[in-house]
Amino acid sequence: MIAALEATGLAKRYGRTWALRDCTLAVPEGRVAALVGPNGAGKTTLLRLAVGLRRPTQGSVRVFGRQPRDDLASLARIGFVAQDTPLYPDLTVGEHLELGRRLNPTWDDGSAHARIAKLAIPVDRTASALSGGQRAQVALTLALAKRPDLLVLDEPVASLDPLARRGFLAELMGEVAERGLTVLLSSHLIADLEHRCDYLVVLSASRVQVLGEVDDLLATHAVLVGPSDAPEPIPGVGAVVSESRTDRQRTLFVRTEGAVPDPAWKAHPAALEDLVLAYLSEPTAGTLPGPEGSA
Amino acid sequence: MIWLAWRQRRGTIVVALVALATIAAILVLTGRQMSASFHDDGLASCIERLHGAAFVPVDGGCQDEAAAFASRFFMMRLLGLTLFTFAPLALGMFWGAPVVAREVEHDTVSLAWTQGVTRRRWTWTQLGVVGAMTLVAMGVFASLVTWWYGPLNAATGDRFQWLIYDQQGLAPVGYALFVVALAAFLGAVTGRTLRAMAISVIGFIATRFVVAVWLRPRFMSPLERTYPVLGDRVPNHLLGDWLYGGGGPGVGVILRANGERIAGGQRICPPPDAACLAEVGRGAYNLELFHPASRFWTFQAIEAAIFLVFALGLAFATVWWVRRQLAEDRGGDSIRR
Repeated sequence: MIAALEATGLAKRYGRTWALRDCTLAVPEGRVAALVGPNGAGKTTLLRLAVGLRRPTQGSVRVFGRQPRDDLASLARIGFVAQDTPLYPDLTVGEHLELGRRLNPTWDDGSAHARIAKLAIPVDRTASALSGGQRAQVALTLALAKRPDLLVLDEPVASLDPLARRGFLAELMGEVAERGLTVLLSSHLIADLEHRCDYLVVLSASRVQVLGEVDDLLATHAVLVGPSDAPEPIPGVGAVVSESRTDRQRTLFVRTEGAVPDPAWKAHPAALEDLVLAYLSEPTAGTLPGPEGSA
Repeated sequence: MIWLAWRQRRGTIVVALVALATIAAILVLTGRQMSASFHDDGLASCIERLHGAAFVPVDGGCQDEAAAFASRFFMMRLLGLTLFTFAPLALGMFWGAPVVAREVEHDTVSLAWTQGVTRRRWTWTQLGVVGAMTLVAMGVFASLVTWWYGPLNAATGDRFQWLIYDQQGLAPVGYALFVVALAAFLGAVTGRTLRAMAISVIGFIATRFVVAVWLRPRFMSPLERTYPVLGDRVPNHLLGDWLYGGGGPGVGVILRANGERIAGGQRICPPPDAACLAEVGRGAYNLELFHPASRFWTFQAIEAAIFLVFALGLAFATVWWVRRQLAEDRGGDSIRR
């Protein structure tokens, strides 16, 4: 099966700085993939490479098997919402829809207008007069009305208040469920992604640090709490990702290999946020699927 | 795509129409005033009596009437010089510089370039629409200015003069297309509208200077004319010939009969002038290199064509840059909060 998005040895350098290096990943079709990482980790660079706005310095990126850069066949299958949801400030909402209709062969004009009407966004208002939430919704409408197979969103909710953020994500997930499209969504608001994403990519310092199905990752990681003087190695623990200790007890975030039999250690299931933060706090740790089929 | 490029410039077009209408009104009013004066004050009929002669009597070339007219409308010429010279530059700065740069600044390129349109088509369409606007606006403006200058040209004979030549005919249209393309290219390279504006001013002035001072006199080989020092006839200055060489820019030379150089400049001694004769000798003559007034439109066409070629080259460079280099740019990847 061809992955919706596939990067092989992908790297991008700006001047002397590597914004992204040695990035190999595949997002299978139908997944809602979260791309997380600290500021400056290369998230935007990866997304812009994925939608063909940037040219790789090394390696390649493919969307449904094709290099997306300036390729109309690829562009027709990609919907992109850039950071801060840029729109033409002088154009009205209706003109943005007209723009989409004229520039995209697969444009669904009826659903685009229906969405805008449902959200009660005035069609004759210029983009500069819209609220942040409305701008994001218009940008999402433009991306969805292309009827893309892959939807790429770069921090779409970062500038929104909590209510608008929830509204936006609800809209997005509704569309995703309805159409079964593949989504790649970057955010540093991990709480927003929990229960919404089923695939995780953690980028840190220009490199992919964690990659895999959310369910698999959560099933193979745990928080262990135990005495500070417990002997190591702990049976059933593949690797300690991060740890914190007080005088009497240690808290470990670990990758497990089966159950932990030692009763001195109390195991708690990992939450997505714990997992992301544990890895981000230890940039040298990482878990990537091995060669073919281990994911 | 053309629809989008037009729609993005709706405001610009309205402003341009208002500005053009205002300028046209001023030009028509003052131009009619000059035209009326040109005919009523006797200059027109005086020039007509010369029948376009190449040589005229020393004091019979309508000098007085022409000088009176020129001094009466001296302020007009000054206004024209300062205002019209910068018209193409204004178009370049306000129309050319933002074409790519403003879209990069607002990151609307990430919207435009992920629709079903290639960057090549996007860039050519944007440049084409701005180019068409420039062509029309500058075409109308330059036609009006050319008409406006008619009486002034006739009264001063300096239509070929540096800066005056540059404001009429076809050349301004070439300049405008050039500077719009230059600013668009610089906008693509720098990704910053203001920077593109600033650099395009320097590039525009430098290019114009080189073409006007170095290249323009070489468009065609000049003609040569001689006339005696001891005589009473001089070239008809009001014809508008471009005297540019021999003894330096715009200066003829005075030679003895044997070809020996006496001095630069022009000298006429209406006979009998014994002192003059004793000084320069019998047979002394003036020598001038010049481009005849009839070459005006040929020169205009050549100059417009040169700048049109520059403009096309810059347009190709802009498209190339957008397709190849802009993908290397950091652009919207920088963290902006």
